[in-house]
Amino acid sequence: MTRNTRILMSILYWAFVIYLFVPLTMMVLMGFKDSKFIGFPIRSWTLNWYTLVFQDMEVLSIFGYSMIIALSSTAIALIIGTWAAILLGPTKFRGKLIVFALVCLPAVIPGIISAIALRIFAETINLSPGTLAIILAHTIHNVPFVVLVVIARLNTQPNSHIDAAKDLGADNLIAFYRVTLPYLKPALIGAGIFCMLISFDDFVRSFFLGGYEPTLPVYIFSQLRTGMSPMINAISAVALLITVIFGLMAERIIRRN
Amino acid sequence: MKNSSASVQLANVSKHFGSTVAVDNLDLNVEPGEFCTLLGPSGCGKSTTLRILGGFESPTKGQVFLDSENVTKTPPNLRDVNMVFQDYALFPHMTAGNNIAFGLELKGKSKAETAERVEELLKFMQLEGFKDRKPDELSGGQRQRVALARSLAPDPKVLLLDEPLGALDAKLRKQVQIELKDIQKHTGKTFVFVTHDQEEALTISDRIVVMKEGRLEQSGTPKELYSKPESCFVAEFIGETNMLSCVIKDTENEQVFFEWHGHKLCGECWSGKPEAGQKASVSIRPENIHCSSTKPRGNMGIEARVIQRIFKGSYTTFQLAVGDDQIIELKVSMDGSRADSIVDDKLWFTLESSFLSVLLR
Repeated sequence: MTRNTRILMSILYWAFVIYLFVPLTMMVLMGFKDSKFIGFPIRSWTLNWYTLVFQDMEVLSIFGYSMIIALSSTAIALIIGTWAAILLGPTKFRGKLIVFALVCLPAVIPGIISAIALRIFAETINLSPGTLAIILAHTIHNVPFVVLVVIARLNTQPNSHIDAAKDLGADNLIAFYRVTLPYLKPALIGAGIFCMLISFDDFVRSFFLGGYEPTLPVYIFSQLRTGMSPMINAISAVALLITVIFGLMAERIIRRN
Repeated sequence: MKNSSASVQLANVSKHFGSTVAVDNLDLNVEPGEFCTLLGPSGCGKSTTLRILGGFESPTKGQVFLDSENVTKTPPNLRDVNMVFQDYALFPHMTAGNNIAFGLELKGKSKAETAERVEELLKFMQLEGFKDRKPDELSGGQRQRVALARSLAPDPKVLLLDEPLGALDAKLRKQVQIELKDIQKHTGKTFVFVTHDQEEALTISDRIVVMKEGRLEQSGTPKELYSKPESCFVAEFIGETNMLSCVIKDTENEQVFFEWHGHKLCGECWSGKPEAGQKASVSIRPENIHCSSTKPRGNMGIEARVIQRIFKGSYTTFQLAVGDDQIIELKVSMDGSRADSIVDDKLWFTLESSFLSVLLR
């Protein structure tokens, strides 16, 4: 690489970084603005909006509610997804490709279509909109991601690991718990965090399947309709912080394994 | 170290994968406490045979016996047989100690008993101090020893080893071969070892079973296989040899008389029924060809012209022209100074009948 192309590459790189991070920085900055409206210039600064977020029981309970939904849909998706991945990984059977396509379908269907479909489905089985319906919808959306990540990891496990476990006296179940599952751990943590973030972030499915209690994105959306207050920025900044902490934790855990 | 070992028997075992036949009507008997090696080129069915013994493949036909118990249908976790895998198959998330303890825990041994046995094995394998290391923190040789310790821990009656030295470098490999032999002697266990390396097989085995295309080609002690090969395949696969083509003239018991480049020679045939007029190959090992620069007494020597001489370390290869000027290549094992003493382009060599194995085609 010549000197000039190197300079050009680094300019492009930094331009991309700015493009990524300036909107985020703006959002966080606005949360510190001492005014009722979002926008430049910022004349005076305040921490009031953040104090308000942590004092507002409604906002806090919405955070908790979103978290519960993310945790439960992730947990269910991990179980179903791992089970499906083990079926789809090493074993060969008739129609495997069809099952694989069906399992992955929810990941590629446009959100709005799957949301409407799920709403109709929930009504046919007499499942009223609310927590359970949202968890169901998020789980269905999460499963393909778990399956893909776990299959990829499973394919790197040498067959001899299972053979060795069986050779040393393990039946299929023990071999799975003591050898395969620990081997999958990094993939499960990675997929789990990814699912939690997807669920935490999801708007369309939560909006269509939700009851009276809104999830965080649905709440932010409803607040936006009544006007842009810096409190929304503060809420978003807190959500951002939680996400970043999760991401970093996941990275550390995966690295340690 | 406890001593329990069993005999292994394969009766008429075949294994088909679709239309390919991996093992074809194999009969095999391994005595208790024997170090038996399955030797053959890749794809000869030796690994499949080992996997059938371990219970990882069920034979399409035939039966597997451990001592006198029929274990054909017994799954691997219920067989008193353990295997050392080619890639060691150590569990990457467990320490060396926990890897070794795995089989003991599953056998329902108490914690104290397990810990004691693990310590004993670590000491036996010279792995003290490596107990808390994960497999990826160990060297290839150490991993190999952990794998061996893990397989020995539950005190199996038979140990199966699937090319366990394949991943080691040449020098370490030689050293581990000797160690493995010692361990086998010390534990008194039946070892069934798989390799494609004939030198390795000769070094460590009590008995070698040569396989080819799923069939048993010949079995015997290393010495028997080397000095009394029963087929061209065995003669060429084990050690270095020279193959002479000839036509059989006459037979008398095991003695076979044949003509080679106008010279009347005599050899021995170890299998089959040689008949006059039949074409055959005769194997002679390089170290059994005696050359000299002077004509030997009597009429034993075969006169030849040296076309080329190639120094190969432990032996020297001569390209010779014999009689009718047909050029043949003879591998002759002799030290450098003796080879150098042949200065003339003429030499005489003798082929003694006790070293000539006549192999029918």
